[in-house]
Amino acid sequence: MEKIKVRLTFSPKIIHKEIISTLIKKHDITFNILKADINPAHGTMLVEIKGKDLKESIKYLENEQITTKIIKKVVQKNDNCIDCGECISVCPVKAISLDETWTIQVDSEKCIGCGFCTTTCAMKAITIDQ
Amino acid sequence: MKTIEEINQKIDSQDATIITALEMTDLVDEIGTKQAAKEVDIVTTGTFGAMCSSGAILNFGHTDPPIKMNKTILNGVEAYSGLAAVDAYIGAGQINNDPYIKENYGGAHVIEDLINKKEIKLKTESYTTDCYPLKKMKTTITIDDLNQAIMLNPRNCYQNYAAATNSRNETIKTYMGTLLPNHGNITYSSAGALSPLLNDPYFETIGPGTNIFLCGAQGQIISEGTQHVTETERYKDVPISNAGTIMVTGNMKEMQPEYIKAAAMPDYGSTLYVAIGIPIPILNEDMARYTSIKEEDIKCNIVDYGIPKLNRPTIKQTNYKELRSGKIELNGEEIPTSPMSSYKKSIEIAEELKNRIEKQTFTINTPTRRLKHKGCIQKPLKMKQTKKIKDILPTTPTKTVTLNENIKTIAEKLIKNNINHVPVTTKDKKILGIITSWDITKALTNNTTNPEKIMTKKVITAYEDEPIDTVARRLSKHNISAIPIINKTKQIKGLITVEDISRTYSNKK
Repeated sequence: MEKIKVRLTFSPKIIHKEIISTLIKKHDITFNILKADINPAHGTMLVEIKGKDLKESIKYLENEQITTKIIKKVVQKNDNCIDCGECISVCPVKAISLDETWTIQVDSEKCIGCGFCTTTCAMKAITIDQ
Repeated sequence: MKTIEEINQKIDSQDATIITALEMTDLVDEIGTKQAAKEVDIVTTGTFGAMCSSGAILNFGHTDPPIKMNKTILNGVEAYSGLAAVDAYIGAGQINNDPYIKENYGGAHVIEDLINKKEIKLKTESYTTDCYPLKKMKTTITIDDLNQAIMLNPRNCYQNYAAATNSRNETIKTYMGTLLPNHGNITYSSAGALSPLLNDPYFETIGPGTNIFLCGAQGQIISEGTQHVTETERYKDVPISNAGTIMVTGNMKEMQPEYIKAAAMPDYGSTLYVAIGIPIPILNEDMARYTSIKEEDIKCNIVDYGIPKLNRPTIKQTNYKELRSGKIELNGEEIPTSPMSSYKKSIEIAEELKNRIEKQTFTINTPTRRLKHKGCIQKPLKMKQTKKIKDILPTTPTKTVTLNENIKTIAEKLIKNNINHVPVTTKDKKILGIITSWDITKALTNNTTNPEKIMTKKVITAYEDEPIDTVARRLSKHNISAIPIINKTKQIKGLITVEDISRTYSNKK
């Protein structure tokens, strides 16, 4: 079964609509909210969707005026990284590790986009895909 | 027994055996210290860690008309210029003058940008004299415009350093990184077996004048660093906690960007990641033994940064093999660990130093003397007695309520006693929560009479013997107006409000 991470951006005006439950029923998917931020100006959600009908699910969300962006890498490390490993122990899902060459690796599959690593990093070397 | 002269002759004739400290450990495992001492001439070490006590002396050259720089600002960061007219010292830990930037661009970043040959805005002002008539000046400079840019780090390369954890029930931001609540993680900073001063624990081969790899340049050791300590507990000759340090210098114009990195420790300050590699000449069997130290034999204390005191309690003793495994068992739980220094970069530095010695672009030399290896202790700074919470704790018993009381009676208690906060406790006075007058208002609008529904359960607390300043900071950090004072068994001892604290400050003369 396919699994993707998607960032949803929507107007807070639509929060009363039962979009997600309809989506789950209609396309028989599992829908896991990893992170949500809804304020008067706008709402964003990072979700993980698992199921057979992923393309149709995305289409449905788009039709409901939700902008979707499929996220391959939730956090990204940049050239500032010195491979120290300060971020490793603050990650709640153990998505960050040092490999056998002592280089930092981020497991995008495990990452839930909480952002603890980005706020901890003294080099500003790890950023969340917005 | 070998001498440095003999080793240098071997290097000249390309006969010398130069290996890294990691390779030395493996080699000694194989052939023993006696044979290794014969075969190996130099062991290279390396570290790439946060070293706050770093900085640089800059000479800007004279303007026309001349100015005696008195207040000197580089990209918004103040450099100390209370020296001769156009000299200044920029410290890595100096934060930006702009309160919105603070640690995100500090002295360390200025030093990094200079080495990266970036343009820096220089602003300076002064009083005027007959010989220095100019009052103010603004310009931009790069490192090439400077007459001298000399790195001068008063304390680098700590010989071992305690690992950190946090017993408090809140996240704290420290120079050891973000420490999660309730011992949620452990951070450590030493490069372990590769760390320069751990490979010569009694400083038998290094001292003032020793050439070192410093951020890509050939720098030198000046002397013992500040806070140099020799009288620490040792295991297999190696100190188990913070011990020796070195003061180092090097020409910044020869440094390479890949060996220096400015860092902004969130809510702490700016600091500089400095690359240091020290060559250890294997003059005898002792040196072979020291340089073959294993990570599991380098002990290290884990201390509690949750206690904001100079002498933080040790929670557990560990070693670098355990720390580097990524997890350590603490009170029956597996706690993730994080290094603060880059092991990858440390290996790279030791390798690079090895290459440079082989290619003779780095010179091995004899120090002018040995670094002090005994008799050094660190003294704390005495200060006038700090006031503690128990000094201002109201003597009248603190009003408390239990969950059996309804909100109306609690509200009456608040009014009768003219208070805004009341701790909720068990029968034996153990704290469960706190209710404020604002919570009572909420109860009114929510139509609830159950105090459990409105009380704050995650209560921020303090102890009687904590300094007032520490507790004042906690109040402001959490944006709260009162804090219950408890004992070790969580029993309530009193309540301190913002008013109590402001009264203490206003009474200070």
